[in-house]
Amino acid sequence: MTATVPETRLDGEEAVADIEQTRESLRDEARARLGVVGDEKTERFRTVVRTYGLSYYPLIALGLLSVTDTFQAYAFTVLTPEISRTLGISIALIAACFSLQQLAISVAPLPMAALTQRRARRALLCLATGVAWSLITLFSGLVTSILGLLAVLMLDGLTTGSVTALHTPLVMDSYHPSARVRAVSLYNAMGTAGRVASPALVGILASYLGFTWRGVFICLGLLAVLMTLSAMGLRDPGFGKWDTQQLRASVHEAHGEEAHADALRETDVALGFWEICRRLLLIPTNRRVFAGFAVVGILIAPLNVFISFFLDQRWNLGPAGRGVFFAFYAGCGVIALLIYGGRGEKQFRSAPGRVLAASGVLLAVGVLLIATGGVMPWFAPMITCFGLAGAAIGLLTPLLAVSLLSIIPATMRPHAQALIAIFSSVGGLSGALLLGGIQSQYGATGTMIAIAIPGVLGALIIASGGKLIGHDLDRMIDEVLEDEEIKRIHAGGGRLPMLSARGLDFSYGQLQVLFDVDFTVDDGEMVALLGVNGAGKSTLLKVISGIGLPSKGSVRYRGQEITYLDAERRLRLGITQIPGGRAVFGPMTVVENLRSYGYTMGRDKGAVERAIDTTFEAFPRLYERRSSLASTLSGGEQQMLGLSKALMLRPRLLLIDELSLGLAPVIVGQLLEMVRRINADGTAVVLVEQSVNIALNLVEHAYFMEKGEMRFDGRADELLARDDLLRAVFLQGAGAGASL
Amino acid sequence: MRSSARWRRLALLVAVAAATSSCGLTHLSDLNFRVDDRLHFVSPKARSVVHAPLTVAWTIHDFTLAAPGSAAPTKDAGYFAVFVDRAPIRPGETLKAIGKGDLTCENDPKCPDTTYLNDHRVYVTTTTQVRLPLISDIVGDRERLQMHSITVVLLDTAGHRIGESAWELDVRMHRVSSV
Repeated sequence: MTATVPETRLDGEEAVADIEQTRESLRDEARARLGVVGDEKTERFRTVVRTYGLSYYPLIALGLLSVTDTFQAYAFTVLTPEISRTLGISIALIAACFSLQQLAISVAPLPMAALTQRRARRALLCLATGVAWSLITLFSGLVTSILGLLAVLMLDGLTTGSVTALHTPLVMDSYHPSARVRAVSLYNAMGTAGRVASPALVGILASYLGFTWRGVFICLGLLAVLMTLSAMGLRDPGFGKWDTQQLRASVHEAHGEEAHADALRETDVALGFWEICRRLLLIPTNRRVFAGFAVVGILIAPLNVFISFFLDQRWNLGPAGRGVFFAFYAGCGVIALLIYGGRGEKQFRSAPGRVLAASGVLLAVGVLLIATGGVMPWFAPMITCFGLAGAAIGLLTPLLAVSLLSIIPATMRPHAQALIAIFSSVGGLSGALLLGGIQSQYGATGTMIAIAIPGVLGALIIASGGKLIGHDLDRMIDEVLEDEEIKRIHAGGGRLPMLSARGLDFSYGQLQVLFDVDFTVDDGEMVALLGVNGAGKSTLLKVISGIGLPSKGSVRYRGQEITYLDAERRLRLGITQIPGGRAVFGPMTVVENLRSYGYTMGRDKGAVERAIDTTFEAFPRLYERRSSLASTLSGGEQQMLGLSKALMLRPRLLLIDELSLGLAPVIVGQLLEMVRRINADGTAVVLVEQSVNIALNLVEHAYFMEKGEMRFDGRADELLARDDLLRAVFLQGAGAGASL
Repeated sequence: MRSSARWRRLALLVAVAAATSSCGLTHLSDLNFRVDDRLHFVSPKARSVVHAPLTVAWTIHDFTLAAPGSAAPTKDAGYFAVFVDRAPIRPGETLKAIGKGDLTCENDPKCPDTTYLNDHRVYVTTTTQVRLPLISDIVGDRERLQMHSITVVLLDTAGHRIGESAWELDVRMHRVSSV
């Protein structure tokens, strides 16, 4: 069932209204397409696979790759003493190599995410890295020096980045949203099973088959090569096959059109790598989940080490006994994943917030069980506590990953996974330091108990994200629908305003200063943005020019989404801002200031010099003072210099903040004449002013802001009649002695 | 074009890593791929609680005991070096490596002597047992019962470590000093 939207020939404001109408009408349907329908009626996994023509192969292939990735790590963990004895290298030195490997593992997901940013080649990268780490495992058996050891560990760490950054997004895109929680749970169950199988395999090869650590690595390497080869049929389904692309298609269906998904992909990934990372960090749920992963990292990363000490010292368990313990611990996680997958699917289908709430509860229960196990005086109850803790903690990663990845576009998922790795590593490092200190003071048992404190804190942080996720899911849906609707309007010959900001929220830390602000500027138009001090005018300009990023809403420029684009890139696209309060570099001369404005004109020195000459023609006074320091110029001259930026760069959109502030009327007149000329040459101008007379004499279209909200959007002469709005400006202007 | 250059660089990196990983490898036959089970510890029992002085005993087959300098060096004859809570010397190295970095020892042709080696938790024996008069507490470990590792390697009559074979025994001992 698809909602229908009336078809019209669209232009300017009409198009903006149409976008909002389409977004509103399709939101509920879009939530359903993403698997959030408000009930718990899930179909069997097998039925979903059959209905949508899916295959089990991606799950199996990625699971196999995930298992092979664990081979080397577990072999090294188990066989470190042997390696130390054989090579005559101290365990401390090997531990230092492991630390460097951990660093490589932490950062490796970032380049992996960057490599898939513009093209959906995740499967290729997964296979290439799989082959690489299989060969590295094989070569590990031939290492004879610390340098060689470091090389294989680092290369293994770097290739492991694909597991973190790409596997889960690939699972997400390979399966329909109605089966995703189960698909991700099954994938994690296979990975966890690998954590059971790998040490067991190492144990069998080393103990029963009589291989040294070299023999073990050779055997594991050969096995990894075979397993990787069996995954060679893995293919990338494309970004967002079952969600983002479906949402986009719904826009066209609503208008009775055919979707042209292929033609639209190029702009889907317009943001750069760091812009995507920054954008992800602005999403409230993500921030909670990342914080949650950092706390989980505090526990998980050092937990195995401290549990090993605990078992060794408190229960006198040797390597074999510890191996069985960890196999049991991970096995409980596998069973929990297999059982809970279906339940998690129902929770997500009903309300995604329930999944995060459940994650919080599981983490709290897990750490409390570990603490209880740490003080338990009897072996069987201790094992039971840790088994149940393993089950609870084993569920965390897939549940948190599904929650996080469901509220972001498919192209950004590898980046989100990479950030998860970074946050987990930071947590792990902090945990190692924190728990190391506690262990030396209170022993392994004390450490087990101490883990409960950050664990419960993390549980609360994660659970609190449950209240935000529904809102963030809608935000993602809105963004995708709006994006596709705009492309549709463009494709149909419709025209959008040059600048269209919609629903902007912005905060300085906890202080929100913009509230749901809409703002539109058409090509070649000059608009005034009025309001008292602190109304949010300058902040709105910052959001448009990219100096500030909104927590909600969108900024579209010439039909393109630029909300999260760097300010520097916006400058190149034709948006120039002249900040309030004398926008010059004081310690530099006038000419040096002008040259600095020409920075974005590239290496064409001739063009820069010609532009400077043009500026001097427009402002002869600046030519006279060309060698003076900018700080020695008068206020009017400094504003002339600031305005020169617009003359040099010839932007499509010029944002001017408080041009007339503190200047004599005659100077203001000269500057405004120049602004008129710039506008007459085709540049759209946004003039932020406190002086109502000045602004409204220049423009036909005005906006008025008050306390962060847009209170007026209309003709300038209509604003003049609004005493209720202008009263505050007049009063403030009179109080400040401003010229009105 | 740029993409293929990137892949070439990656392939080169892997090749360099593969080469450095086996850096120092002269013969594949020098590497142990199967466990060397010629030596077995007799006492004390692994992971048992022991007290100083401690005597560690073992048996060995297919290896002839020979004193330092008593015959031409071969892989099948020699004596033992025992390392307590420290990594052994590298394959092919002599015990001179223990004094590496210690200028006094490096400049003394008689160093390392027995006293120097014992001070550095290394013991040498031409029999199948060794007496450890004192085992120091493990630095940084505040546990009351500490785990100590005793590693035995083979030395040829010229004092070089033979192959990669090494055998480890873990024992537990009460901490000597109070925290």
